[in-house]
Amino acid sequence: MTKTDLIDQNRPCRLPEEFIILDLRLAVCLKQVPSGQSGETDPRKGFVLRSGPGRLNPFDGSAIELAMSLKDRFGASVDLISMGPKQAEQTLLEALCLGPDRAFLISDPALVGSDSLATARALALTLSLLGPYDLVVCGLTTIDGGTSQVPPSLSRLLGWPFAGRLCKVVGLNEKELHFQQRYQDELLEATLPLPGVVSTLRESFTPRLPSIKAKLAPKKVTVLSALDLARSPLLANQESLRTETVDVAQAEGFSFGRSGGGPAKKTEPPADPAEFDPALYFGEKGSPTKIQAIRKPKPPNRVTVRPTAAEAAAVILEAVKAVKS
Amino acid sequence: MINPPFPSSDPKCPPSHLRDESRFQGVQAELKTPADHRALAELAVKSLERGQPMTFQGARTGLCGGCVPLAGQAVSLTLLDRPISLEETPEGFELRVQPGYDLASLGRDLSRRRFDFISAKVKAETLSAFRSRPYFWPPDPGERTATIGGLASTRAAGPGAHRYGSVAEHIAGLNFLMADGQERSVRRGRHFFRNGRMLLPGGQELAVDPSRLGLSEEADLLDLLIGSQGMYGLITSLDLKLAPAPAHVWALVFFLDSEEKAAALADVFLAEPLSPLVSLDYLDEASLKMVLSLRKTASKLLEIPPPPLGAAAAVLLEFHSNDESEIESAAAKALAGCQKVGGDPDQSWALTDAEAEKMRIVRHAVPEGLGGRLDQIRAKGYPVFNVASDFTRPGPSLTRCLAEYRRDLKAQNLEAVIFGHAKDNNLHVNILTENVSQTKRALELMADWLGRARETGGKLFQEHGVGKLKRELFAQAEKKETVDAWRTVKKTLDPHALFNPQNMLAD
Ligand SMILES: Cc1cc2nc3c(=O)[nH]c(=O)nc-3n(C[C@H](O)[C@H](O)[C@H](O)COP(=O)(O)OP(=O)(O)OC[C@H]3O[C@@H](n4cnc5c(N)ncnc54)[C@H](O)[C@@H]3O)c2cc1C
Repeated sequence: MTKTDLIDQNRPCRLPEEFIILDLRLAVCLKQVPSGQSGETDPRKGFVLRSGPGRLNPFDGSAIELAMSLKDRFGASVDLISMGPKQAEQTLLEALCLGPDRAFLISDPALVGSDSLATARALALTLSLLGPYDLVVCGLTTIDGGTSQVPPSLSRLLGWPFAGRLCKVVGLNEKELHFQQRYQDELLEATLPLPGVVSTLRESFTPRLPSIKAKLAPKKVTVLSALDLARSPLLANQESLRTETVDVAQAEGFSFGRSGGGPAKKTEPPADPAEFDPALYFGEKGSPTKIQAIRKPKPPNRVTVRPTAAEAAAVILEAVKAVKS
Repeated sequence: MINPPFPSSDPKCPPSHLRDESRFQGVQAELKTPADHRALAELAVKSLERGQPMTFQGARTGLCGGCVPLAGQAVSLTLLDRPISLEETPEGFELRVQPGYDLASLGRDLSRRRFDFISAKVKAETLSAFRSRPYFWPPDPGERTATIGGLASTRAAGPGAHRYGSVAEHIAGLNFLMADGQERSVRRGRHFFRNGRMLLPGGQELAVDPSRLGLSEEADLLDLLIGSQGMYGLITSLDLKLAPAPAHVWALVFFLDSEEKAAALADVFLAEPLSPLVSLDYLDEASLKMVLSLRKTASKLLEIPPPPLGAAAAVLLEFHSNDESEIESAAAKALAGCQKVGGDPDQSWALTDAEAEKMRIVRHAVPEGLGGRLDQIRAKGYPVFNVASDFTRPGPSLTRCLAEYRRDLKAQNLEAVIFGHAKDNNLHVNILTENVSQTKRALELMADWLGRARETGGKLFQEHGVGKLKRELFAQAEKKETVDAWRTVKKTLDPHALFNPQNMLAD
């Protein structure tokens, strides 16, 4: 459905309540995944090896659709944000054909091999750098990593509430999003205070297809490096981006609702970010990987004042080097 | 076209082998499913010796009852479903396949560049040369489960026939088991007509004027066998000509708010050809509704948004090129064409490379939906078939052709789902009937249209064949000398009428 289907711009009329223009700022986090059926993984480190052409993670198509349908209905700007290799730019260019306003790619050799927490941190830094945003929309999971951890981790890092498995938007205003979410056979209705983070059910929002006009229009992706992220205001509250996956193993079973994927509730920012335990933030599907031990690095110097860009970049680079190794 | 829907009570043949996608109903037959080539050849030779008729079956997706047995045995070829070998010839790569190998398996194997060959003789250097770049088989009939043997026997064609032609242009040769029980290799140009005569591989002579069969003077035996609906013998293997795959594929869909605008847009593209264009198809409003209703059940369609509100018809294009900028400029011209006919450029889809498959899924949903609708009507007790056109009508514009069809349908108080290829007005007008009187009127109308098409040089029974369902229409629409010419071919190649009896020609 396009905006013109809903609002006849040639006819002066009072817009019905639900079509009030809110001018919200929305961000969609998305990922490029390998084009093939299954991505090869590094047997030692467990992360996906990327080569050849990529495509948009199919779950993220529904996230873009939700954001675009809110833009159509309520008026909003939509930014796309992705972290990945340089070739992910192609996926962002294609996603821009669906109508979002801007696209950003966080791409830095230092970030290769990031796990879900490092990814969430990089995304959180970017969101606070480019924001403020009212709503961040993510796909439920990815077809390659499949952890479902990034969206709830992101909410925790940003200190915003999270709602997972959205299947319908019931209403929206500047302060809150009224939505339905589905857990197996259960349909829940709840309200998410804004700003917030949501993940979408793939089957509930069929992605639109690009128009020929949009396909032919010039498009641009802004590439951000780790150094750029160092300017993020969020960094003032973060000591390190460092995570170290000591071991990765198949989990024996999943449990629902352990994470922020349950009905939305306001989460507090971590009192001490160094104590942040990702095991608490498994996705709503449960995590297929179990992090058996988290080696918590002793924070370097506690950052009490906002660092300069160069200082922060050094911290980030040191942290991501640890992730790589 | 009305045939009692009696289900099979014969334990020797499950009901699913007594029908095809046309829902034409067969009678008792013994089902034979040979496991390999040797078992197939033995079965065929024995049946020929004993005078037992055989009806060959591929995937049974045919739309004319060609594979439906009315006597003797149903010989299913679905277990002969593997690629045999790959060869590099001066013209390019040739892939030899068994007749039951299907289009989906071919697409999968070509895209992963790996085959599960029967023969261990494929040279390593041939394989590595083949793997150096992607290849494809240009014909693109919509039904991916159809077998290569079935596609060759019906001379199937997809939307890509606009540029690439039918399967006939992409088969270099085949092995063929003839009425004397011998299997022979038939290659392009080896057995051809000269002064109305052709020396056949077994040594007999076929005396028939090729022009009566709608063939040119240069036609050869391969032209005669491709599209022969199993009437002259059994295809035991086929050599497919592979072509280098284009680096870029774009599919464009324009949704228009009236049939007139859509037809005018297709006419613009026909008048000013866009160089990378390989297909140009048309879907009417009833077709779009069919897609919409199938969305409720077909999981593949759920990944695709519904046609926009208010869309009354769609024009579908596919571009192939190694140069993406060539496609981009063609797409820009197409967009200008849309504006020229008063279309809304925002009501369009542009799908590139792997995403282009979505357009094919939408197009395929129309015949699939029609099959479902037939089942609904048949469930009410009326044993109806789809009365569908399958001919070219060169000459008039698509606009004029569609207007004529609508006028005639209205005069007969009939409804139709119209979709198909814009080139030469190769449209499938599917008349939906729910009672005897409607079916009678539909058949009369179809016969009238076929006659008009024949007069203007159109090719009748183009893609789906005649089979058993359209035998009467064939006899009505073709000139007597044409029907007699086909009878001569049948008598010469299958003197005891043991191959696919009752196809095309009533006994
Ligand atoms: C949804 C849908 C979409 C379709 N789209 C298209 C399309 O785009 N273009 C098109 O052309 N057709 C289309 N068709 C029709 C159908 O797919 C084709 O006619 C196809 O060629 C049939 O292949 P099959 O393997 O199912 O053959 P069958 O239906 O099993 O048999 C078809 C004929 O071939 C004969 N035959 C099969 N194998 C052999 C053999 N080895 N030796 C001798 N004779 C043999 C059979 O006896 C029969 O006469 C469509 C059908 C459906 C249901």
